[in-house]
Amino acid sequence: MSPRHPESHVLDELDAFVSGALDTASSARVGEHLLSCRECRAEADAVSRGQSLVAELPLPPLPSDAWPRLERALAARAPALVARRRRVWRVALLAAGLAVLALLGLTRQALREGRPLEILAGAPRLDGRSLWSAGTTRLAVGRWLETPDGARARISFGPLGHVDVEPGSRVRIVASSPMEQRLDLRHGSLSAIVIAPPRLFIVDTPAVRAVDLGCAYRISVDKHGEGSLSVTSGRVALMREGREIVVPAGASCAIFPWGAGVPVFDDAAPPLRAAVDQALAGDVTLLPGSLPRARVRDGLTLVHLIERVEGETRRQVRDRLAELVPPPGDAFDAALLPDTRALDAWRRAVDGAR
Amino acid sequence: MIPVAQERKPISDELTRPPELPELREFKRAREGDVEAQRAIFERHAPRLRAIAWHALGEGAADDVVQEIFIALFAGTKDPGFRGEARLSTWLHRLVVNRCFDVHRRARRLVPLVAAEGRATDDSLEWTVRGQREAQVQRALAELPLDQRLAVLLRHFEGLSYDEIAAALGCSPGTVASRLSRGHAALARALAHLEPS
Repeated sequence: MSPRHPESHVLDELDAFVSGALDTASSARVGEHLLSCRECRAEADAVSRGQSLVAELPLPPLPSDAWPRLERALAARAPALVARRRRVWRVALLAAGLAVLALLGLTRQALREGRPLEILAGAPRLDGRSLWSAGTTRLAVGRWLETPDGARARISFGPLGHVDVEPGSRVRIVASSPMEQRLDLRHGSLSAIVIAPPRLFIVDTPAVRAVDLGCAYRISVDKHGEGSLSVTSGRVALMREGREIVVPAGASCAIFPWGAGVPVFDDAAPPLRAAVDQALAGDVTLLPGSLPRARVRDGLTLVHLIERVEGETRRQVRDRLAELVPPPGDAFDAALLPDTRALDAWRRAVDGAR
Repeated sequence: MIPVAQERKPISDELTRPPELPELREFKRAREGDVEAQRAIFERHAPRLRAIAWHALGEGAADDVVQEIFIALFAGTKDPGFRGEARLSTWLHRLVVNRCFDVHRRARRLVPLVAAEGRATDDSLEWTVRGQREAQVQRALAELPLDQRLAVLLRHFEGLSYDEIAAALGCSPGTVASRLSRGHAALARALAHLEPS
């Protein structure tokens, strides 16, 4: 028989319960109540169905004129001030840029002509035209470089470093300026050694953006946007929709058409690596059994994984992480919500412990 | 089962990110009139903010709200006060919520969600004509009280935690939990006819 006292009902907690956001004690209390309360059980079912219905709502695209309208409105509101600020900023930037260019021994003509391109093997193609000659040519902004049939090439960025384009790749330079060097890797693999200020060197793939933070790394994607990033020194940030995943040296991160996976150290125990791969594919079966194999440095993987799993699995990942790296503040409970601020703090603690 | 992140689901894992400085720096450039910085911030945040305002207020009002927010953000004479102590997205959530409540209080008439009948008045409505089911979900959502509707939208489009929704709505996390429970349940009851019998 259902309890009749209104205050014993758990209606207001059902969304959190269904979402797996309640702490252990509260979840147990609500669950026990639902066993004997038909009203709350029906409401829990309704909450669950409501969540599923809302999840069907797609993100509508912005109208094509949204940015132009805003840009016109901004320009109309303070044209003189905007123009003055732009001039000041651009003069400062130009001065800085010219200084950098002078330092790099580059000229405007050289930038227009593109980056030096060295053929390492085979016959790369430039906009479909085979490059048969050995030696160096130039890769101009916007021109596609392909490496069929075992071809390899190196794009030089002067003292900033270089990028080796591996066989089976299609890539182009989309920006080459003192503030940004950006490549568009449509598919294939790049190995980069970059000695540049952080966030100067960027590689866009169909799914994510890899932002160099001073490093050496290899990034691969297939034609569906699926691949991986492996960092051998420094750090690389994978970005999508303004969110970042920082992958440190010695770690790799899977790339999916929908975004990035979680960073996993290359020397992590194979059972843990396999369990994480499977978990990201939707199967958590192996994950609980692999958690004891996680070391302190694998806390980096676990703290990212918390948000990718639900319910009891999330609790288990959280508990193992807490054993490895004590949670700061209220992160232990907040991680289950999951509270991104708490997880950020825990991630910083994990970084400090590695 | 793990909810593998789908295309439309926000990636909520903000990891050991570098200091807030890059976002604050970009914001300052935008305030100084840097069009590239303005556009980058706009394109990064506007789709979800517009989706929230769209479902909260209707089509025409949503576009106006989004424009007003970014005009105030980039070119308002009053300093917006963003100092990087929180994420810019957190800040924008509060702005869109406040604007939605302002518009709602002025009792602007909601634009009926009739796109499913084929009234494609601009190129962005095409997505709403794809299916009666989707239109019905939108209608039912529009029937929720604004405070419940905003809680549901912030949860769905931004993937915010209860604490973050509470900060945006200016209420307690417990109130957020209650609004989400009641809102989701109300949607399910309104759309019970969509469930297989």
